[in-house]
Amino acid sequence: MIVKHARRGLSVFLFFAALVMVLTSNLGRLLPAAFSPLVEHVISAAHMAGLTQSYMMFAVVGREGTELEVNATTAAGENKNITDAVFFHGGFFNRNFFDHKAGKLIHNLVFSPPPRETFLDYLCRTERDADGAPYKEVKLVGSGLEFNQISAASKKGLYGDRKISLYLPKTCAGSP
Amino acid sequence: MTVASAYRWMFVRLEPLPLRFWRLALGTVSLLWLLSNLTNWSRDYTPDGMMKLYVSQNPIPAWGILALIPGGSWTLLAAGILVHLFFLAGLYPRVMSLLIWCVHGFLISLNPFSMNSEQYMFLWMFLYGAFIPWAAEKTGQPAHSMAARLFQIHVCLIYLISTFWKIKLDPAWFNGQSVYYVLMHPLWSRVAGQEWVAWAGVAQLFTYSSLVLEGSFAFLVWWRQARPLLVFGLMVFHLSLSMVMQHIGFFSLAMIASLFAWTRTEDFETLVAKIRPRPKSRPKKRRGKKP
Repeated sequence: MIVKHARRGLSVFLFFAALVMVLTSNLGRLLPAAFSPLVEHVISAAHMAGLTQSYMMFAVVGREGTELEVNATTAAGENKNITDAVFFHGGFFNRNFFDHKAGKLIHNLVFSPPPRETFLDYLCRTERDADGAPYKEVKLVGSGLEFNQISAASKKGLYGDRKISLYLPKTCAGSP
Repeated sequence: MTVASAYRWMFVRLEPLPLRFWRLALGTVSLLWLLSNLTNWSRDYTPDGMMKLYVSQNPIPAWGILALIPGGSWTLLAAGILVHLFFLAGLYPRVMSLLIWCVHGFLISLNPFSMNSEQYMFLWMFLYGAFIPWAAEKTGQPAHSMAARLFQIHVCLIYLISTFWKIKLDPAWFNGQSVYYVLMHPLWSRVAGQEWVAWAGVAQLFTYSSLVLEGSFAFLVWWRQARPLLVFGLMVFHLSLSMVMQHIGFFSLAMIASLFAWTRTEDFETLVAKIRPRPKSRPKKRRGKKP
C-alpha cells in the first residue's frame, strides 16, 4: 500500500516537474526579474533532461532572406565562389536527404559569431582548388536581418533593406 | 472533475496497434536522420572536423569522452544505428529509447553549431520513450502510461507556445503576410520567387489556416470528434510543409511521428477499410425454372 502511494506521489511530482521545466524554459523571459535565479536553475535542469526548447518556429519571419557566400582565393589570386561545393553535394537525393543540415548551419554562420572562425579554419584545412592545392584565403560574405532587427523594423512598418552583415576573411595557414 | 478522475486522466490508455505504429514511426524517423548524417559525419563529428579550432579554445567534455572511445565517433554512429534497430525490432525498447536519447544528447554536445531543431525533438521524445511501456503491445492488452500523457502534453505545448510567440512577436501573422515571407525566403523555401506565392489570398489563406490549426490543436485534440481531424490534418500539414520548404524535412517527420501518440485502433481500421477494395457484389441469381 505504501509503495503504491509512493509511486503515485512520485508520478504526480514528475508530471508537474516536467510541465514546470518546459513552461519555464519557454516562457521564463515573461516572469519578473525576481524569479531569474530560480528560472536559471530550472532551465539548467530542463536542459539536462532535453526539455529546453524554444518553440518559436517561424514566429518572426525573415523579410529579406538569409544569404551566405563562401569565397575562396587560389594561390594564383583567382577568386571563386565555393558555396555549393561546401554545403551541397549536388543531385536530388543529396539535396533532400543528406544536406538537410545546410540551412541551419548557414543560418548559424550568418547570425552567430562563434561558429564562423572554426568553420573557416575547417575550410582552410579541407577545401582544395581544381589543382588540388589549398586556398590562400577563404571568406564568408553574408546578409540577413537579425530577429530583433526584423521585429523593430516591422513595428515601424518598414522591412529594412538587405545589406551585407557579415564579411569575414581568413588567410589560410600553410598556403603558398 | 474529481481528484481521482484527474489522476486517472494522467495515464493514457495505450492500445497495442497504435503503440506499435508510434514506436515504428519514432524509430524510423530517428534512424533515417542518423543515416542522413553520413555524408557530413566527418565534418560534424570527427576531431579533425569543423569543431577542431573551437574545441582547442573552449574544451567540451563530450569531445574528451569521445577521445576515450576506440574508433571515436564512427563507433558512436555504429552503436547509434544498432540501438535504433533494436528499438525498431521491439527488443528492450525502453532501454533502447534511453540509449537513443544518450546518442542524440551526445551528438548535440559534440557539435551545437551544426544541429537542427529535430535533434532537440528526438531528445525529449526518447526521454519520455524510456518510460513508455512499449512492450505492452506484445501482450495484446491495453496499457496505461503517464509518460505517454506527458508526451502528448509536450506536443500540445509546442503548438501552443509557438502560436503564442507568433501572435506576440510578428504582426505579419495578423495581417496574413507571414506565409508569403516564409515562401519567398530563399534559404528555407523550395518555391521562392514563384508567381503563385504572390497571388491574392494565397498567403492569407495559408497564414490563418496554419495559425488556427496549430493554435486550436492543444484545446480541441481532447475532444473525441475533433481528434482524428486535427491529428491527421496536422500530419498532412507537416507533410505539405516539407514539400514546399527545404532543410526542415526531418523536423516535419519528427512532428508527424509524435502525432502518432494520439492515434487509436479505430483510425487504422477505418483507414484499412477505405483503402481495401470492396468485393464486387455478385449478380443476383434469377429465380424460376431453367429453360
